[in-house]
Amino acid sequence: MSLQRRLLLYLLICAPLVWTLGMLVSASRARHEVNELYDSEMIRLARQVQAMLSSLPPGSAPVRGMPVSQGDVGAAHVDDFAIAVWDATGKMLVIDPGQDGTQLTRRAEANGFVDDQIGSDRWRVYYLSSAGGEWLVATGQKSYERDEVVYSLTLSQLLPWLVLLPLLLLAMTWAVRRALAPVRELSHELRERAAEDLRPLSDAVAPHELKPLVGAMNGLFNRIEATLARERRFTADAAHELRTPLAVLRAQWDVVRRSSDSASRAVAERKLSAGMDRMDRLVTQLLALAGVETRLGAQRTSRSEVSWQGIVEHAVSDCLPTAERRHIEIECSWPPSRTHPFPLLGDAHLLTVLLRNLLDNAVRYAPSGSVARLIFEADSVTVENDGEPLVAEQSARLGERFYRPEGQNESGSGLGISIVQRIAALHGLTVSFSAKDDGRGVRVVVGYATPTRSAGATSS
Amino acid sequence: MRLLVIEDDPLLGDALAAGLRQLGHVVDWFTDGGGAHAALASASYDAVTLDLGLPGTDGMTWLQRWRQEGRTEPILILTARDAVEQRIAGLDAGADDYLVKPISIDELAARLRAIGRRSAGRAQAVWRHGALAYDPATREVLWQGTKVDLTPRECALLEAFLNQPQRVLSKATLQEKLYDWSGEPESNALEVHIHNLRRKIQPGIVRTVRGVGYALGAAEAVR
Repeated sequence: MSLQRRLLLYLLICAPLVWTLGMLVSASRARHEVNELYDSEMIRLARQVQAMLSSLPPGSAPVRGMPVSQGDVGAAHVDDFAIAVWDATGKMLVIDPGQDGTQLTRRAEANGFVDDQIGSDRWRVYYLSSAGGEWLVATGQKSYERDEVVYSLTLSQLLPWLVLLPLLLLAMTWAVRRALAPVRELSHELRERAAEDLRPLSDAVAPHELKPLVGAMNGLFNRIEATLARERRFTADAAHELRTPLAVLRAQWDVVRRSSDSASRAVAERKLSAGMDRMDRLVTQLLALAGVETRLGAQRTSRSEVSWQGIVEHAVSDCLPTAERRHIEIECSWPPSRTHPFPLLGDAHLLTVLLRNLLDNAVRYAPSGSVARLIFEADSVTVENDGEPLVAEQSARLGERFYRPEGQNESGSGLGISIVQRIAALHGLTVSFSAKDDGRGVRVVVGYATPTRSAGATSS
Repeated sequence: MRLLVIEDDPLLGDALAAGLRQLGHVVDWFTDGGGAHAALASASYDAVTLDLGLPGTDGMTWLQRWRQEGRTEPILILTARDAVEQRIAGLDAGADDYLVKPISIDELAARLRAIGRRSAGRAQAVWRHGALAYDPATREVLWQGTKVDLTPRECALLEAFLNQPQRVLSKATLQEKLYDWSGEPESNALEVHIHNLRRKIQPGIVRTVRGVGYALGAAEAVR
């Protein structure tokens, strides 16, 4: 249901409820006033009759009847009141032209107002005895006459309200539409937008209530834009970097096709195969990086306490063929038995990729016959080899995508360190490159960005 | 054609050089601009393929420098940079053609022939000289309409002559066209190839200019 309809509906339900309440209060006020008015009228009438009777000589016959014609009585209801007079003996003297008074009951002991049931009607009767007890005067009125007055009073208030209801409805609709105009403008602006238009919405004109919504949407737009930009950059980079290995395959294939003798064909085929290995590696790394980017964008990594043993097993197994080819030994050292090695909540798959990339680099760029080391400590993991120390420019550009230092004989995609850094960032870790303590080799330390968990804080 | 290939990727450079050699070209391959710069200064190339993403100084910088120095060799840029702005910048910097990787060796060779042809001021695909017709794409030689079988070296030699029909070419220049820097040719090999050309086509096809070198026989003479 639209906000506008909902508002109107609530208003339409609430307005009659409030009206009814108002009507009840006003009816009760009217009844009070009417009672007051008629009660005093009845008292006055009874007193007048008493005064008139006491001026008569005792035993004289009272006046019988009133003039038949009463003339123009205007809007008055003279018949409203019944009057009855009894003498000391209880004989009723009829003075009421409407003769309603004959219905009233004589109550010798009564004095003041009495609510009485006479026949099918409820009456309100006022009794007044003379001081000597000669006369008892009663003035009475049917209750429904009073109710009628209250009803007609209430109705006269209700009618204009009912007549004005459609007008009120129109006014409310107009007001609601006007009040909701900013919401409509906002949704209009969003509807008119092209799908790729991620400009932030202006919150200058938005009312106070909509500002958090606009703010949240702008935040979302920003995040989407950043993700899109990252994806676009990644696609562009990937397309660019796939060109050279593809060119190699194409060119080497042309050479293979044209090779006339088996020796040159074998050479060309070997090179073609090397080209395919490289393509394979690049695509694998690109997919790994894309996977990290996706997880980074979605923040959906499955985090659990990391078991490094399993991760190391996987990573080292993956690097063994290269290590054997280059005659490199891989060593792994763990902290003292009671210390938990580098406790971390993380994604085991991603951390395997991280470790494999670091180890692979260490193995590829170490001098043949040397040792590549993997060292676990309480708060970090270190990979080091005896390769050429990095010069400043190389360290600075290492994380750059597709950056490969000059003079590389080993095949590589130039993505390994980017992937490592992305995964580390995802886990709130930093990667630092340096030389080993003796100033030789390359050491890569992966550790916490800020030392929030002190060394050995968790021991199992 | 004698070609200079500048490509820093070892696998790709190797493939380009091998592929172009298979097509009968004489190819020198360098992985950086500095080596190529020295090579350009010391030998005359018919065409150059230049990669832009070179280690150290970028290929574009080398191209601009060479054009500023007045080098007129036809240069083809072969790169992974595929943006339109990059193509425009490359061509405006003085490149004769701009190719985006990957590319087949055949197309690369055809493009090189085309820019070589244009730089020699020739538009026809088949080179004609008197009764001689030479198609550099197929390396087919027709003498008075009859096919002549030539070895790749003889072909390259004939091409060098046909490329500059008015010029007398020194022995050193001709040897540059025939051999890359991988091995030193035997000193009398050039004479052997010229002898074979004369024998297979017509004795007047190559004139000897004593003390200077050799030149293509006049068109009227080779009928």
